[in-house]
Amino acid sequence: MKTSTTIARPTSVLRSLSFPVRGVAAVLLLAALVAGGCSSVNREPATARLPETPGAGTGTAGSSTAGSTGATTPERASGGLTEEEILAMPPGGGVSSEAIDPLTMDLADLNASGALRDVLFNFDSADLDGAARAILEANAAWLLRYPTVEILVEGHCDERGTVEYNLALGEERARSARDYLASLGVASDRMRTITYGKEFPLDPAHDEEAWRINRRAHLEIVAR
Amino acid sequence: MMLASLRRPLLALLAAAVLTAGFQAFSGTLPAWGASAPKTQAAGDWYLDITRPGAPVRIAIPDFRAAAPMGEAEPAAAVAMSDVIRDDISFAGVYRMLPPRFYRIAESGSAPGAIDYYQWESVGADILVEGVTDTGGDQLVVEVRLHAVRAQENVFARRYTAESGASRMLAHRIADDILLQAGNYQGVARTRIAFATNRRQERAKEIYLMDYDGHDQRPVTANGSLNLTPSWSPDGRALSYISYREGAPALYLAFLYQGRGEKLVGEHQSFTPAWSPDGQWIAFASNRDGQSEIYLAAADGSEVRRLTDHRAIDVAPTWAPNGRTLAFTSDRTGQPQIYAMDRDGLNLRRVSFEGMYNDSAAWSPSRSRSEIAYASRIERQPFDIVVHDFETRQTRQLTTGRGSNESPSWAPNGEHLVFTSNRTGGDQVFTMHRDGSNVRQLTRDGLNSTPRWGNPPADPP
Repeated sequence: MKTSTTIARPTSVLRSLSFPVRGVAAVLLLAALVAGGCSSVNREPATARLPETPGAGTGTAGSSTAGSTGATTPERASGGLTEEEILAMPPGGGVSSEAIDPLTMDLADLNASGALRDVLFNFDSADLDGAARAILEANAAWLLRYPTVEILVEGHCDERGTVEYNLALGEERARSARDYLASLGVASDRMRTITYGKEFPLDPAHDEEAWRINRRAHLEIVAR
Repeated sequence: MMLASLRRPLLALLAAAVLTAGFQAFSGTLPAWGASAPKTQAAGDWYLDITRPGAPVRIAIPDFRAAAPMGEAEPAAAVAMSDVIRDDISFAGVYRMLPPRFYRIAESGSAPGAIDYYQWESVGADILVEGVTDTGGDQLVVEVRLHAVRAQENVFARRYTAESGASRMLAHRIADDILLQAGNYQGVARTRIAFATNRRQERAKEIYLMDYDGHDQRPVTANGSLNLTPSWSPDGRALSYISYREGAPALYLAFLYQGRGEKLVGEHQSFTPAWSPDGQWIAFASNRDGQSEIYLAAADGSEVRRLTDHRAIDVAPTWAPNGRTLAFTSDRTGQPQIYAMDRDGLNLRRVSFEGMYNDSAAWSPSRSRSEIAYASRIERQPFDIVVHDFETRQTRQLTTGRGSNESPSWAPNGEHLVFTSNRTGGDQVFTMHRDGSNVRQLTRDGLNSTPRWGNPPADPP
């Protein structure tokens, strides 16, 4: 399966963090996944709040002496903890986390969280291939789990078609995605469609990779 | 004999003068013939009289003179007007402009204020245009005379009056009159072009207007959303376009001289409006019944009816000048191609057979030719502008090897096209002659799309 079919908004959030923070973020993500059992990967939104947490977490761990900051705080070295207490600490250095309910996030954060993923299309086509269906199935599962969410299905095109025809093609793509979601049980009155033709490319570059990710149906959450 | 053939176009002109917009025009030094002049074949006969078979007609337009200059400003303004007129006449491409260095030779041999026809004939001029400007208060008065050099005759004289701020539009009006009188040629100097541009905000497109030569670019919409695909009313006083200002794309009208707009067709999504030649109807595409289909609505938004019924995409209608036939784009064969149908949706036939992807058809408004322009992808290249001639069934390619060229629209006389091209970088608006020559770039800011060439604004009803 092509992993490249996602518009990786969550990973781009990770990428924008400094390197050590990124490592912690990845650990936290894993922790969140384990805590949530088989919950969907779409719990990633927690990453958006990460930068505040790492200081508190690493400070309590005995292993922090690897860095110079831990060693210069003597009261923490003695710490008041017995060896037993230190050994008894849960893995993860005492960090606990809980999944953030997506519906408590504001709309912009929720849309940026990657809860719903874009569907990509071939040139001059509104047909759904296997990868597109798989993404829509994941999107449908999420939508069925949060039945109050309403979405706007946006159809977009790459720059190689004409302005006029692309307006109609974008609408076909939006409708194609919406119809498949409906066939998976998402109520039609939760979904509206709109075409933006080739007016809003995700990537403004003029190459195959840009065109590929610009031929998309984007699911924008408009109410929750 | 000669005189008789000369007077006929003048009569037609005087009749036409009553109808002209914006400026008061009087007959100049010539006697005023009856107002009930027959509307004959305009200036065609006279045109034949000055034409030498096989030779281009050469026109001389020396700088206009300021009648009583108070300082530097008036002569400069007169020269500026002459520049505009020369540019308009050159754009039309029906005359060869005599190089200005010949003007001095001819003028130096003439007595001041007099026309020496022999001098002008010796430098090769067939037609001489003479102009004198005068300013009084906030009024600008221009007297123009047109001379047939070899016939040694002043065949056209007219005095124009305008507000002093309108000198450029006045010059355009004079140029169109010269073309009509001397060549029975319908000029486009007073026409304008509407287009969509993101020059103000990157993620918005507004509808803009400009003169046909790219001057005076100014916004029509300012709502910060997407506004696309304008279409002119035939009287040049209103535009129909789509706007996302309330979310989904809907049809709107903008009345240019009344400062008002209205939403025409709201529910569902609508795209690519096209105003009919008689002004009564607007054809457009909409998804109101599922797929994108072609619809027709009365110009007030009522009487919406559906013309196409196919699972494929149908979009981008354009009207034939007879108002009874429409062309549009459909991908019913798997690729976008141009089709035509009658106004009731019957008699469907395919128009384009060459190219892998054809869209944005524009039917020529010309009454003497039967042709249609569209953007065509030939092999896997970007788009080029092509013109299909219905009579010869030939398709000719007007642009080649210079960027992607899209969204053609005809000048009202069917002699020129406006289109977009990314040949200089971002999408910009260009014009060219219908044979692909005389390419001019009109815009340089932002990304620009869907230019549409309109008629000069008619007088208010």
